[in-house]
Amino acid sequence: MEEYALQLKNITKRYPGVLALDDISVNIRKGEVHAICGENGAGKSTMMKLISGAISPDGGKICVFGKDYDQMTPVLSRELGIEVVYQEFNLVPNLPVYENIYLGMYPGGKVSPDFAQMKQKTRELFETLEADIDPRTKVKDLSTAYCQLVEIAKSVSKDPKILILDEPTAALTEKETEILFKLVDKLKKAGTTILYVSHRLSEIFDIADRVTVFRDGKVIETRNIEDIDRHELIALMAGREVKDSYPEKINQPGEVILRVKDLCGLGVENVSFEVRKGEIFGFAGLVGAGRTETARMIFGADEADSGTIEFMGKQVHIHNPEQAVALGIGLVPEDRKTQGVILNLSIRKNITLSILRLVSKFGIMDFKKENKILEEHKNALRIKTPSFDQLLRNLSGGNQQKVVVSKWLARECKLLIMDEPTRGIDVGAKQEIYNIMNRLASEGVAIIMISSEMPELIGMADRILVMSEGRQTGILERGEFSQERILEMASHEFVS
Amino acid sequence: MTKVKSYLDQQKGKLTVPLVLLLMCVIFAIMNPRFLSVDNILSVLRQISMLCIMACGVTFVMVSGGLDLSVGSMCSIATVVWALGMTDWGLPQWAAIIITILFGCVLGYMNGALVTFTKMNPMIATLGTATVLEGVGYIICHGGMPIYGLPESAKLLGQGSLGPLPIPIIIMAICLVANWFTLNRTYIGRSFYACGSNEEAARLSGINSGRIKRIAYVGAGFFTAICGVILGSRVNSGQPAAGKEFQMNCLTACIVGGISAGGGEGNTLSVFIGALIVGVIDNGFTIIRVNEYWQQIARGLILIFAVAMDAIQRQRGDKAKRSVKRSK
Repeated sequence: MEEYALQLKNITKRYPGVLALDDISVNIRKGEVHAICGENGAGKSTMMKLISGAISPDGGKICVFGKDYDQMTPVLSRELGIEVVYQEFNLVPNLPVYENIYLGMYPGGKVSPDFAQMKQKTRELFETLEADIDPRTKVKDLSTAYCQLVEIAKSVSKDPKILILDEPTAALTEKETEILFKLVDKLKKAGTTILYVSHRLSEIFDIADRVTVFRDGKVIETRNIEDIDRHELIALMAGREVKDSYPEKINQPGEVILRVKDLCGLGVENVSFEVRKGEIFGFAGLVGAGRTETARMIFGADEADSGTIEFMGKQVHIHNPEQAVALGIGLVPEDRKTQGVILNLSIRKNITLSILRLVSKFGIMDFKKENKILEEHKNALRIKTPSFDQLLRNLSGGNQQKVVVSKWLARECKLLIMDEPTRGIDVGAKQEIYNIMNRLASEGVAIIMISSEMPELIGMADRILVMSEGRQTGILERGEFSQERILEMASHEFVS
Repeated sequence: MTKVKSYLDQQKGKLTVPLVLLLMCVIFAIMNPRFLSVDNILSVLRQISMLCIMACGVTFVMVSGGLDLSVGSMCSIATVVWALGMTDWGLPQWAAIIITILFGCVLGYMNGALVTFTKMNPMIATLGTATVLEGVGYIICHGGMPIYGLPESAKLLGQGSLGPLPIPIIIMAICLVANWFTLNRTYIGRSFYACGSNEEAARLSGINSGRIKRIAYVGAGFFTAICGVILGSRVNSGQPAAGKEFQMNCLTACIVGGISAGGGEGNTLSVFIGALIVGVIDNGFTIIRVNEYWQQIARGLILIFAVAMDAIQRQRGDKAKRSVKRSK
């Protein structure tokens, strides 16, 4: 009996100009849940791709169940029983769930696939997962969270010996996360080895047996989970001691700047609240509770059916983002890559997108003014880049997010709506985003913060509005915050 | 030296098209040295001038993520309006030119409005307007009769020259500079790229993407009208079908030059090089006495080649992107 399911021996991987993995060695024991953490760009993704065979190493060996390989290929890794669930989905939107699960390997062959069997098997699969998904639903009608579950189910259906999960909970709410954890537990008991890549540290402590920390393409340490605590883990990842996860609150909420009354539309019903100057106002709720929709309606990205919005003491009618921006409202959207940044444009062109009018005279760009504003924000936000002409696609997630925030800082907006501002960015960058939010609030900017990470909301917000099924279930003051209470309100079920 | 190298690295893949152009020139020059004579070079430039001017406008549309298949018909009808202005309406030439350009802008705006307000596919929308405009042109001209009887001064813009330089070349140069200025130095140009690359992100940054796209179509109409005026002046008449051949050549020039059909990419140099390639093929084949059907085949092949290269590079880029970090 081999002790290890998977071993990486002295693996090196180079990209032009970057040493992505520097002579790393990791040993994954059979049947363990092994967490991998590290900041963005630490080499986690590269490692996963090496294991799945998407890329090949420049040096070193990959050892699977005691056998050494110079490199993996997608076919070989699958033959060896390795399955990877990536963060992005590989589902066909127009096909039903059951066909997606068996795509490419239909039971009964390609000519006359056995759809009945597929449906039955899928149903059983979801039953064991305790996920409430109808196999006949088309994938395009599923929420993101359910898509992620389908993606996981697809991998599990292949009875993998080694399952790699890449940020599986990024798109999940607490409810589905629980389902996932139960599944991981079940698989572990059945002897599956699980590699779990996650930014969410609390999860790692919940389910992992051991954890390996990556930093700058090197393996820093592997530890048993009992032998490490949260602070140490963060310190290992960041390479420095992070005192407190959330910065001390320094902001003083002032007068009311935004008053929303009975906002309806897009499945949101009668949401009313007030946000004050210098306040960080949290939106809590499960995925699909209507938080993003509410934010988009305020910003004019989608039109509301009814309701009134008062901004800076005046009633306003916002029909499109242009009007919102002109009023001094900014939005950091949920999906950074498709809505927040323009990947094939430079940092310069991204940041000044919101202030084109301000840095141009009679439509002609004033580059001196533009450079001045850029310099200011580069220093304030610590965007790591050699030049403003760097394309956004070459930046890490955290730096991309800082560009999105800079865009609104440059605009000097009075209300900033931040939808999942720290999703998918590393611990260090998260801290920086928190600091920026705090600083903005202390300067009098009102911030609406939507987040699915409850500790983050509790750490950052002054008040939290909780939503469930498109309706608001209450607003909590800072003194009343507790995870249990928020979760309770967020899972409130309305009787229809 | 390192600067040159890093520049070349950056331009990697973008050099293919200029190299193809260079190669073609070398081959033609070897086969007939007259190809490189000043006269011939000026003649190529004069030949491509109208195409290039039209492409200056189409670039705006394509960079902002659209497509305009109506510029050919628009150009024809521009010659008609310009000619009518000086004959039937009895206007002086300058007034006829202004009216033609305004007319082009209005047509462009209509295209833009159609595409942005109805969210129609731009290819279909402009195919529709192209067909309509062609019909309108024929009706105005009573079934395609060209409009003759223009004053002598009307020949100036298309046939005249300033010293050794033909006037169409000078106008082309001005248009190229205007195109470059708009794309690189104005807020509209920035917005074109933003809308073409990621319309939703641009919209969520407070840019009125619909308005920007309409401006792009107006730009196409503007330059196409100028092209129409020169064309009319060259043939010394208003011709309801004269611009037709420009449509496909213009699209070919843009795409061959490196203006992405998907939007967000391309610059003034791409327009010029694309137009040059089309012009050099035509001129070179004529000079080495190969008939025009072969020219057509060559144009088609170059177009396929350019698009294929673009697609292949895009895939490579995507792969590289995926392997450095995942993207949604």
